[in-house]
Amino acid sequence: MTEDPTVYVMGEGVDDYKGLWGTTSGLLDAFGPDRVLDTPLSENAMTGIAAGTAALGYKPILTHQRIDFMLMGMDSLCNHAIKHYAMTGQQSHLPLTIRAIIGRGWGQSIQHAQSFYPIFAHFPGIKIVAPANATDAKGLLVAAVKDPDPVLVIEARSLYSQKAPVPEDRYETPIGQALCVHPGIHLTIVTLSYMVPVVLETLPALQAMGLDAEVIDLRSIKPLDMDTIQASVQRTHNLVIVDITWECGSIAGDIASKVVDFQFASLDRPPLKINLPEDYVGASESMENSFYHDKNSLTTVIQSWWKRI
Amino acid sequence: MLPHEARTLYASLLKIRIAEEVIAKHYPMGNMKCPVHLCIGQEAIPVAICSGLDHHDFVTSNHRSHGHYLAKGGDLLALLRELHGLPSGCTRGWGGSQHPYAPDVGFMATSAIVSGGIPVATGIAQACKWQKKNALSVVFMGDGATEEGNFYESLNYAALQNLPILFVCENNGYAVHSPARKRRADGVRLVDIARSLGVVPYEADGNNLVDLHTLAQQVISTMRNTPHPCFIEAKTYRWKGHVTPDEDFGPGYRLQEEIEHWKTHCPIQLFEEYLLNNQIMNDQEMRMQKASMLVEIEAMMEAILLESKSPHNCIAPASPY
Repeated sequence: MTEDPTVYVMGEGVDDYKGLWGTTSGLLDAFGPDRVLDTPLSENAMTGIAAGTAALGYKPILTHQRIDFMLMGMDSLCNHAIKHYAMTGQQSHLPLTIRAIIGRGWGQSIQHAQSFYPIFAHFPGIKIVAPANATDAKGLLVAAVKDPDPVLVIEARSLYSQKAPVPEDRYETPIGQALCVHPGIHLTIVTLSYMVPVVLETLPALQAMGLDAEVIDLRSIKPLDMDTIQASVQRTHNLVIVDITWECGSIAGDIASKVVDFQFASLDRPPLKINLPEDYVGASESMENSFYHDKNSLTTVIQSWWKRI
Repeated sequence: MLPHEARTLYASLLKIRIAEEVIAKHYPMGNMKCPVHLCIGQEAIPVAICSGLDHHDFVTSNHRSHGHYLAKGGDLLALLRELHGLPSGCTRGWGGSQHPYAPDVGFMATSAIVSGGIPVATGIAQACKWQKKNALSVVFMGDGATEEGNFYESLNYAALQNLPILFVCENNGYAVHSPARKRRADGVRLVDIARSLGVVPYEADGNNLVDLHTLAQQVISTMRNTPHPCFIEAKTYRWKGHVTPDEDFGPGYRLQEEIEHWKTHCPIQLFEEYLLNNQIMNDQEMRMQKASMLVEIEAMMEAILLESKSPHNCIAPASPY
């Protein structure tokens, strides 16, 4: 925002004193109300308005406090913004960035704990990234803002308290590039967002049963870095995908099917997809605990899958 | 208005009417392989509104876009090519009739999703306000669009931010085949809705070009002096069907008498009376202008037919994604 006067932030409560869990703190003082726009509760119009400013060269960072609210802006995003490039005969790009925050836990319940990125990933012309740590949160956001086309950045609120090194200078994390966060030899575990730390927590237990797992942080849902995944599976011959949403249409399904398409012969066993259960998460603590995997339940699932052959 | 202005407006009216009639005539031959939503009968509105705009102002439109595109200064040949799906069309074959594109003259976006262009136009107005170049954003919509949430949300935001946007509703009483009385409670007026959202409303006879022109000039002038959103409801009527080149009284959703009645309020005939009464043009001049324009547009169609047979115009481009 300092470097480029066309960049601005907009969304419900972006200038709020709580700073959207600290993510927008200080921006209003630094850049003023013209560039840190609190908006009416009008997701569909606000997304279209962001697109309209982008059509004239501005670079909006539209923020949804909860990804759940994005459903109120589906038409403007999916029928208009994403298709703008095509509908202008590929003559006009639309540099729109959307930040959508995933909630989870503390009884937030069904409508405040969704992570339905597949709805948007279905469309050609959108890019979707999901940082799993502060380093990539900055790098991917910068890359998203600089990208000439619509990019959706999925942030998990439960990760905001996790510390990671963040260089002071401006840097970009390339969109479409996964990252191996732990090298291994027996199996490849591909995961993203808030499941990355949980997967890393399973490693000692897996190690104890003789499994040295390679962990890949997807970072980018669309475009998908199949090169990194395939290179890893080529060496390990086993694939687990730990996803953050329901199975139908999820990236877990996509990755599993692509690996079967391209690397069938090199697989020791069918890929394992670990998605959210086919259900909604109730508000009670016991329901939340049985809904989300922790390191123990995740280890158990992986162990049973491994032992099946 | 001054005589030369009147002649310019007349030429603009004729261009839209004759182009649409030529399209309607050629459509059954099947060379324009896309749905066309013709604006015959509604021409006065875009002509009047756009007479107060220049290339630096912006227009956003809907599926019934030809009149808006041409009145704003969009190239007719490029539009006709687009209808034929040619890469030389204004949208390179991607948009067809519903998505013409002419950024050089400020024709920025259209939407085939009713009301979809309204927020985009509002965003363009926001950008205009930030850029401080005294440019305006105009969005054309039908009465159906005023039922969508986009309408309320956008007017609310435009009023909140005092945006230089002109919302123009071409109220022709129909959303496809559904009349207004089935979509909105009796007695609810669009100008009242706009006013209650904080937007300055105006009501007009959409087929009276002279009065509409005066109103448009006045409204646009106030908007340039002090940026603020305005709404013009212009009552009009479409002669042809929603998406057919025929006058579709056959199916029964509207009566032939209704179409015939509105034809007696033809915006072009009304303006011709004005031109005659004020001795700006005579009968012969008008007939000759129409004839030569018809010849010109028919020649364009012939050339385009040849162009569309060329093999390099029949290849689909690769996906950029």
